[in-house]
Amino acid sequence: MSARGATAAVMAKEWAQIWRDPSTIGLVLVLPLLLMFLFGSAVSLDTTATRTGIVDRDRSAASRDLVAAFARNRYFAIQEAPAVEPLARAMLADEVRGIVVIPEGFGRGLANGRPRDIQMLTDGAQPNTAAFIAGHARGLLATWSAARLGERGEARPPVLQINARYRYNPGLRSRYTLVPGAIAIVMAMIGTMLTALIVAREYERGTMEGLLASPIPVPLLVAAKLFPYFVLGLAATAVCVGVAIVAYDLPFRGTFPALLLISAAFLSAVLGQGLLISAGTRNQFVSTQFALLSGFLPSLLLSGFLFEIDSMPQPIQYLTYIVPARYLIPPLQSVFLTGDIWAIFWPNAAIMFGFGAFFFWRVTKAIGRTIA
Amino acid sequence: MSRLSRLAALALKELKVVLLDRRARTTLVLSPIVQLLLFGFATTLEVKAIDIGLVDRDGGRAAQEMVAALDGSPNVRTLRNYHSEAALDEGIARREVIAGLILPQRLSADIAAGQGGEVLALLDGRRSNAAQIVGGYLGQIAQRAGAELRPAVRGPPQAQVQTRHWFNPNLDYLWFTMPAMIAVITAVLVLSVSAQSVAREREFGTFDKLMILPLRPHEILLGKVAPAFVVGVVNCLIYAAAIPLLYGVPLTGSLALLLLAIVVYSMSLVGLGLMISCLAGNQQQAFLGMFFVTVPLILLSGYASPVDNMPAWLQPLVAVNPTHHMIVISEGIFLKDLPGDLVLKHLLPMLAAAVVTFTMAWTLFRARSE
Amino acid sequence: MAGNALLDLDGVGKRFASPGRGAPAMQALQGVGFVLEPGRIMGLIGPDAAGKTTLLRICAGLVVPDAGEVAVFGDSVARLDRSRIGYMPQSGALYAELSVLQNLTLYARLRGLSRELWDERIAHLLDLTGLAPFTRRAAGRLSGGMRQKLAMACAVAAAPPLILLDEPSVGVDPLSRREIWQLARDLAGPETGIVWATSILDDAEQCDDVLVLHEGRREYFGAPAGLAEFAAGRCWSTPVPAENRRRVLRAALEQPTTIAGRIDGGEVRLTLRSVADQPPALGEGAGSAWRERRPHVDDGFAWLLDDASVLKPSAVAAAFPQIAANPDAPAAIEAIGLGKRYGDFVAVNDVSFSVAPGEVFGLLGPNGAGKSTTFRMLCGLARPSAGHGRVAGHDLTTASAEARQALGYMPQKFSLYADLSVAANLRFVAGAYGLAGAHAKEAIERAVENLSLGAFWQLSAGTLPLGVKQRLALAAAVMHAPRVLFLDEPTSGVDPLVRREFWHHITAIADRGVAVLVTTHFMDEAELCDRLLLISQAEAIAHGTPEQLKQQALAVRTAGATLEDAFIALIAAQRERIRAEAA
Repeated sequence: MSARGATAAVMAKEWAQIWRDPSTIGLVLVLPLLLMFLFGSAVSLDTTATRTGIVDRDRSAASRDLVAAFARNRYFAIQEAPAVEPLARAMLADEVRGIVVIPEGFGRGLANGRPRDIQMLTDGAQPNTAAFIAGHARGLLATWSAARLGERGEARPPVLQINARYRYNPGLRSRYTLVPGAIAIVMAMIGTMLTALIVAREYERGTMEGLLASPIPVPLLVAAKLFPYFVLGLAATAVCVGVAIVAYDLPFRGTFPALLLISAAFLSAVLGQGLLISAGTRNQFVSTQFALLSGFLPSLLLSGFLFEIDSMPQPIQYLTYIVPARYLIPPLQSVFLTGDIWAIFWPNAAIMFGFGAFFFWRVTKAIGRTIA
Repeated sequence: MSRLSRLAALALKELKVVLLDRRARTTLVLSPIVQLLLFGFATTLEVKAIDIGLVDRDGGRAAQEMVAALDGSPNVRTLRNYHSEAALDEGIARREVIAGLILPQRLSADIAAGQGGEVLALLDGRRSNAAQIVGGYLGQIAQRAGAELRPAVRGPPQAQVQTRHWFNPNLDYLWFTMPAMIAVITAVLVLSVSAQSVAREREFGTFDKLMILPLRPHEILLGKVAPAFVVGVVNCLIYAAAIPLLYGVPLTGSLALLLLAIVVYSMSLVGLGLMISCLAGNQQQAFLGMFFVTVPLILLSGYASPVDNMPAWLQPLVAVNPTHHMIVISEGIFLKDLPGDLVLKHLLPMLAAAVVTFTMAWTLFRARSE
Repeated sequence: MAGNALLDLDGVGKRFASPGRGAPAMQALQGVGFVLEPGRIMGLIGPDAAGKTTLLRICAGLVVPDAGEVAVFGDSVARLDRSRIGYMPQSGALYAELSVLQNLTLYARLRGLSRELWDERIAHLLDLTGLAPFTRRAAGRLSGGMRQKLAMACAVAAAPPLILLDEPSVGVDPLSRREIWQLARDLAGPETGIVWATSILDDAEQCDDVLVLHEGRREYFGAPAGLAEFAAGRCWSTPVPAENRRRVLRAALEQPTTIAGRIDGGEVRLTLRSVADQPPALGEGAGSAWRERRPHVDDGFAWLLDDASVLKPSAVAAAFPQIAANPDAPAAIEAIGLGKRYGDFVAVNDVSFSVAPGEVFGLLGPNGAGKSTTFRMLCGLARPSAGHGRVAGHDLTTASAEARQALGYMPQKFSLYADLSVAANLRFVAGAYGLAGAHAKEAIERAVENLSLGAFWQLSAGTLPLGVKQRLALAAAVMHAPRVLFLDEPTSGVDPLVRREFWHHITAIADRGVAVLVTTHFMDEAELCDRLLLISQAEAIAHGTPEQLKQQALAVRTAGATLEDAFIALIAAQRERIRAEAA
């Protein structure tokens, strides 16, 4: 009876503190909006028209036709120059990302069956873009050649052709991948950052002594401190999901109970992680730094939402197993794009709850019953 | 003379406060090392070790060749057979495989008859980037299998594209990440140091003592520049040495120019950090303020995704983002031996940002120093 | 062994690991024991770092001792029922951003008070503390005295039979201190036991028993009268003309036969080392009509903790150039109609005074009365809303940075860099005052020598004991030999030994011609000032020498003869006047 009253009292106190500090509300409302905006609008891996220089040394009918084909293609924004040198300079200055050179005798070569290759020079300093435009240039030339053969009735269809269909994301929009990832980051930040501050603050200000001297059992104390932030984390998640669906028209093919389950599981893990940092360091500044290093960065880099975990070196792959966000990304992407895939949800949620329970136990031990 | 010695004393104090603080050292030492290793090893654009599903309704030679080609690919880790398209779909949904091929019933017969065969590939669009790359792999694998099935069928020779990647011949992604990291880590470090500087004095109660000393506001602010500056420049030097040694990225341009750029860049960041610090009432607010500024700075810099892909209405924000300019300069000096005039072109906006942010920090400091 | 003792400690010891770089491990307690019976108040007194806080924490179950037996309510502390103790930590453990009511409710519920009981109990506590009109105010915005009362109310929210209070009266004005004592007595039932840790010896007189701790050991346990008795036959006083008192006291304290001394009314009062010693002959101008006095607790305390050291003439003061006394010299500090408002709230209203070179001027008043704001306006840290202040001829809110060169300042809160070493802090301050090279080195060496900081040279300032921190702060404030010295509660929370040393320096510095403005809550310190200004509720309500203040107090009501009585009477008179005007 009295333990329940004490727990409720600590919870009420946490709420009161949250309402009194505008920066907490900022973290819950502004951070989701900011990150959703950045990952929804600014960060995009969808290559659009890349500024590309083109030098036509041949100036034959065929070469002009190829130049026109480049100009029509949606992946290229063509800028023609008489020679490579000015374009090379433009590439240094980041004004073009690639240069297509059509050699002299290109048209003649095609006509007499001894074709001359065209050259694609790219800005390797932007490897992503370079790879994309090199690939697109190859594709464009192949299509163009096939079309010319077709006109002359010499078309040779490939023996085996792949007809690719992208499930759950037919337009292959990177936003569909990035936005759920951004939600994971928001949750990780709220979880670790906010809670990293809350116990450390009690130690720094000397209020921990008052709590420890009271009869409330430590596990209840920890639970009572955690719960309001759990609710805040869910609120921030709700903000994110709302923005994702309304502003960035992401499909939501799963169900909300499933989303609630996986969010709750992840939050239990990161809130516990933040509290453990907080109880371990007992210092707000160090806490935030550790939260950044152990919460934000791993969620961004090691969760598999930007970089494929299977492609990382083996030691780093092992490291990802202790990053809670690793278990969040697959269910989160699925609940948006695919539906309720319980085969993915259950094991991942169980692991995340396991993390939560472990951290909770560690925090209880770390706080202990004594002050020094 | 005496004013200069006061400034020196102030700068020395600020340096010691940052460098002697065990807590600040965790940020300054641990965080760059973790980031250098984590970013260096974790950021990869390659897609290796993929799992592919297969629904074989053909059962003929075409299927054998296809399986052989898949087995031969260094990127394919496992090949799983599914009995139906629905089962394959389920396998993709459960993330058992990232992609699956469906070989139609008459594939071998059609090819034997001299016709072309089409294979349906289903890919997991939840992982858009990886799926796109896997799609490319599958196209190449199909081509290889096709060549085995019908080696003689080759049309008239066609023009090919000869690609040469300037500045980074093997398109090593690290060659891009590492020089950009200098700008990103400098931003994180310089901002966390400078954003705490005034807020910390307020919270620890040393602010009054500082204000009672015969120091002028701009001297106090200049003193606070010192640690952030040292942090920025020292980091740049460490990275400039570590990146070629650890990751083999060439440093083709002038180290002096890079240092100059880092100095100007750090100034613009310190100004920003001091602004946050003057506005913040305590350390927590300073920290959150710093986070709210750092994240957009990095995400709008061209580091996380190419600037070219961002919508036009965001481009003005990119143009005033010092981190963007620093990344361009750093990439340029490492990989492109960027000439001085082009460095200057990106140096000037950073300088302008430094002037603006400093003026604002000074104004805020004076307004809030009571 | 008492059957129903609340606390029964025997042979308790505790050792702590080194707190930081270079600092040694510390034996906090060694072989301490005592018994607390129901209905008694035990004072836990001792200098800084004596182990008072550790001992309280052991009783509250927050620190596990390395040795000895601790029984609470007759049972081992390991099985302590925490709802039956009311522990008030030194920090107060209040949530600064939460309201008075929120803090009280939290602790009432935490201690297991049930819903039906807590409303009534909180109403009772609010009534007793006088905090009822401020229930919605954030605890961080309360004055020091109110904050301490609230913290105490939070600690005893559930009416526990054992109350442990860690320095509840630190930094609190005399009026609030009386109220806090009254509150403690009101809160304690006939069966309640209280442990009251303090370094203020006036508190000790009010206790039933006192336990004197020194360097972790029990030096005395018994009635306060017994403590005072140690100094029997050693206390002497003699009347001295006002203009000579400080100098005479200083000279007496520099005698090897003297342990402690103070100004008491118009007299200099000394505690001697031995009953065989005679009071020193102090030359002309000093009285020689020595009379033996009844010893007080502080005399006994001074004798008990005497380490045979003798105060030397203040070398800190010797480093100041002597400014020749000149009756025509302009005032060093001038406040002319100073006022400050924050929105509707008037913090300071029309305060005027001036301080001449060589004068020690004391600002007195209850917590939150406007002393600190007045102080900050004169230093240029806050902009006056009305009037203006001048320091050494400059208005510091508008003057250039160089004008602050004439000023030395010691803030209320320790405000040097905790992570920097003593050396680095001093080097920074010297540099900021424009001292460079050999000059800086010399000034720093002098400060370190004069304030005995040499042993702490390489330690981080944050890890120093409180007394050493205050010495470091003083060193930083006087290193450039300023003509004006501002000291804001320089001895708050400091033990009597350090306070004596501090005032030895302060009065000697003033005698070099430096104007000193000081705020304090200790009336024995106020007696050392040339003139005092009493500020209450933003207004200056009394002004003059300590003797004049006592006269003014007698004029408004019959009060006792001490400065503390005068302080309380003058404030009470002001409150009555305000109430009358309102009615």
